[in-house]
Parts: sequence; structure tokens; C-alpha cells
Amino acid sequence: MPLPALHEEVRRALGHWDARWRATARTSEAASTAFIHALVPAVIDAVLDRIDLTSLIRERVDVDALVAEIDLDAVVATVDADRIVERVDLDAVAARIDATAIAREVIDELDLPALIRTSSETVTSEAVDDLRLGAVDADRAVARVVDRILRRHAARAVGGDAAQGSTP
Amino acid sequence: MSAGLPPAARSIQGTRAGLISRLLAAGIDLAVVSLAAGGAIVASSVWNYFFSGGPTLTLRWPSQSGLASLGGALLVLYLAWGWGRTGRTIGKRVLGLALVTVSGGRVSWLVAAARAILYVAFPLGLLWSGASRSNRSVQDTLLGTAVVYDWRGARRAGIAWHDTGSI
Repeated sequence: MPLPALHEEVRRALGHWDARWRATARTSEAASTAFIHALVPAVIDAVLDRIDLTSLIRERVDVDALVAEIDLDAVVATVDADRIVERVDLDAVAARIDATAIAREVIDELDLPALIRTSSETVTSEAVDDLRLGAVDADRAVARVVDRILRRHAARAVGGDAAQGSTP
Repeated sequence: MSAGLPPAARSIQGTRAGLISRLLAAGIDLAVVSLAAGGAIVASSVWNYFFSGGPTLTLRWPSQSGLASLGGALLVLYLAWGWGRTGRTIGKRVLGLALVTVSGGRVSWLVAAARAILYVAFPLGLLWSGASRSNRSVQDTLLGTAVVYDWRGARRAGIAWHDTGSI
């Protein structure tokens, strides 16, 4: 076969294959894309199932360093708290709070009656002690005056301020 | 026993109480019994109003002698009860006093009752404790009793207390 004829034969065969490839490429591409779409999530799921991401992050990631790099002030500055609060239905939140139960729990925790009892006991106890000490001073004063009037030389042991000579 | 006592009060525990403390205690006891007597009169008036069918609620005050008898009887009962039970009436409790025998022991019910009757019959006998060398009233002298400072009720509880040897 002369060379130009062979050249023409090859060109025709290539043209024929190219046309066939172009005809089937579109359906092949769609099928392979669908296959990959179905395969990839399943593969990733299977991989993730086998990896303990939490411990992986704990071991490999310096979370502290990451957090340190975050400018929290800047983040907070971007938050419009007023708008958020405006969108919150505070009445509904309040309606869901059992204020009585919370108050009762707080009072139980504080043990208010015991607190009041203890503090009032302390105040009462101090007041009674003051009264008693005042009475003891008055006892001593009266004893001194009476002893002086009766010209006693040995003082009495009222309130323990003298020698113990008060046996009958 | 000196736990919880102010320092100034520790040394006096168990020593003889003086006139003013005793007078104040007696005054409180008198007030308590007066309130009780008044309450009894009000209660009897209310009782009469409800169950005897009077038209209005009127206080039925007894005659002077009736009032004295009621008050005296209540006072004897009250004092004998307090002294016989713990040696401390309400007045003595407030002033931190306790009635004991001269040897520091517990007063018997009989002595407590006799002392109560003697006090109601001759209350001025208490004033003798101001003049007596041993700080004892006429009644104390007759019955062998004494009143001591006992702020925390140690005598009643039988706790060994600061003993000054003055009982």
C-alpha cells in the first residue's frame, strides 16, 4: 500500500474512534461523576468512623494557641447585643421561669430562719451579757456602800471582787 | 464552766450574787406573774362572755383581796416551780443567777416551796441580802439557801464550774 493511502486510512480510523469517544464521553462522565458522588461520602464516613477526632485534635492541635490568637474583643464588638435582645421574647422566657420555686430553693439553701435565729441569738446574748455585767457592777457598788456605812473592814465577795469571805 | 462567757464574768461564776441582780430578777419574776394573772383574768372574762351569755364583753376584775390571793398563789406556784426544778426562775435566768443550798447543791422541792411562801409573805426579806455579810436574804438564812451567779446554767447541768469556794 502506498504511503498516502495508508495515511488516509489511519486518519479515517482515528476520526471514527474520535467520533465514538465523543458520543460516549458524555454518558461516561455522568456515570463516573455519580459514582464518585456516591462513593466519596461513604468513604469519608467510614474513615471518620474509625478516627477519634476528639483525641486526634487533643493530641495534634494546640487549641490554646488557636484560642490565644482569636481577638475575642473584636468578635464581641461585631455582635449587636441590642438587636439580639430585641429579638428575644423575654415575656415568654419569664413565663417559663418558676420564680417561686427558685426563691424557695434559694431560701432553703441560705437557711434564712437559721441565719436570723443565729444573728438574733448573738444580739440577744450580747444584750443579756451587758445587762448582767451592769447588774454585777451595781451589786459591787451597793455592797461597798453598805459595808462602808456599817463600818465593815473586810469587804464582801460580791461578784468575786474581794477575798472569799462570804460563807455564812 | 466558762465557755462562751465574757472574760469579766468568768471569775464571778459560782460566787454569791448581790442585791441589785437579785432585785432585778425578782422584778422580772413579778412582771411575769402579773402578766400571767392579767391573762388569767382576761381569759376568764372571755370564757364568761362566750359561755355565760353576757351581752357585752366586760373584764371581771376580782376584788382587791381576790386579786392579792390570785397573784400570791400564782407567785408561790411560779417561784416554787422554778426553784425546785432548776433553781432558776425566768428572772434568775435573765440575770444569770441560780438558787442553791449553802453547800452549793440542788434545792429540794420542799425548801423551794417554803422559800416561795416566805418570799410572798415577806418580800422585804430580800433586802437583807444587801446588808448580810454572806449576801443572803432573810429567807436564805432561814432555809440554808444562797443565790449565786450562774450565767450558763452550769449548776443545773451538774458541770464542774469555776469554784471560788464561796458557796
